[in-house]
Amino acid sequence: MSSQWKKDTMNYHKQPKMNKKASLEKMSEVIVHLVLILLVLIILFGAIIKIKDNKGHQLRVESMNYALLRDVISTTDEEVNYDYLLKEKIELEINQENCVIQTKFKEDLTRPTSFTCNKNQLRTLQETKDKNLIKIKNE
Amino acid sequence: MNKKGIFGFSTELVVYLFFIIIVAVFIFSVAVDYLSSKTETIQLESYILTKSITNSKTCLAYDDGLRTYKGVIDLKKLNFEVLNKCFSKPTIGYLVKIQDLEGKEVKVASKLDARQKAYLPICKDLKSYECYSRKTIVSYYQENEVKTGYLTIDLIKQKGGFSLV
Repeated sequence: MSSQWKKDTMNYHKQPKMNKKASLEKMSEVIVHLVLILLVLIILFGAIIKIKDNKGHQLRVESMNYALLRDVISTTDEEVNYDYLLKEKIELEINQENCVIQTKFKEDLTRPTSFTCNKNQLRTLQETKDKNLIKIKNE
Repeated sequence: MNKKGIFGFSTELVVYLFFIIIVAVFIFSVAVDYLSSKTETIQLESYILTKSITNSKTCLAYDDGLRTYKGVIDLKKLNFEVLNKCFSKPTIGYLVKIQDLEGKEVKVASKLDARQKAYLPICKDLKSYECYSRKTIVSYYQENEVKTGYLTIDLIKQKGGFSLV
């Protein structure tokens, strides 16, 4: 009985040496897990940031909104006055000749976007810009 | 203690890795899909075109000199010249057809260039073009008489009305 107890005790004291390799493996597994979770989180937050700050989309929406608004105003013969408030960071240019609405950021190098509007040759829309406010008048 | 799986990794780790890759790919694909989504405006543009045509005297609305009759189409005005002057976009072509209530064709005119004319019948099979057809009940003025019929507008548009400068 006592010799068995001695053997057990010796084995017990040997155990930490035996587990060192296992604990290292466990540790590396945890690190790999953390790295993978971090990778997923980076992708998730990267995607959220990219979606929230989608500059191309903002430019597309502004040019499309304005072009379609112009089209809607030109559908009626009645006198219409409309004030369009442009987003602060965005600059809008109107090419009257080809009726192209171009939008770009004031202080950003994102590629400008353009959208075509209806060119009604029989009627003109008066557009006056005052900072970010565009006043449209149908005559 | 650890059961070895593929390439010396534990089976548990391989399973985790598999799920993490699936989650990462899902997030990435959702983001890419959202960012590259296209804004479809053809339905809205066809609606605006219909309203322009039927409501404006510079388009097809009947005008007797005293007032403009909104929703009443003057058949004398239905020709390429008037359509070209009243609604013209380089990316859009359209065909305007007036039918009586029995479906018999009364008059047709279009604002289509040669390419759009050729592509309109096969538009659904073309990747770079999209089509839309809108049919509404209208009144039309013909031979000093106001009749009721159908106005059909077939629209063809080059996909992605936006262009990067």
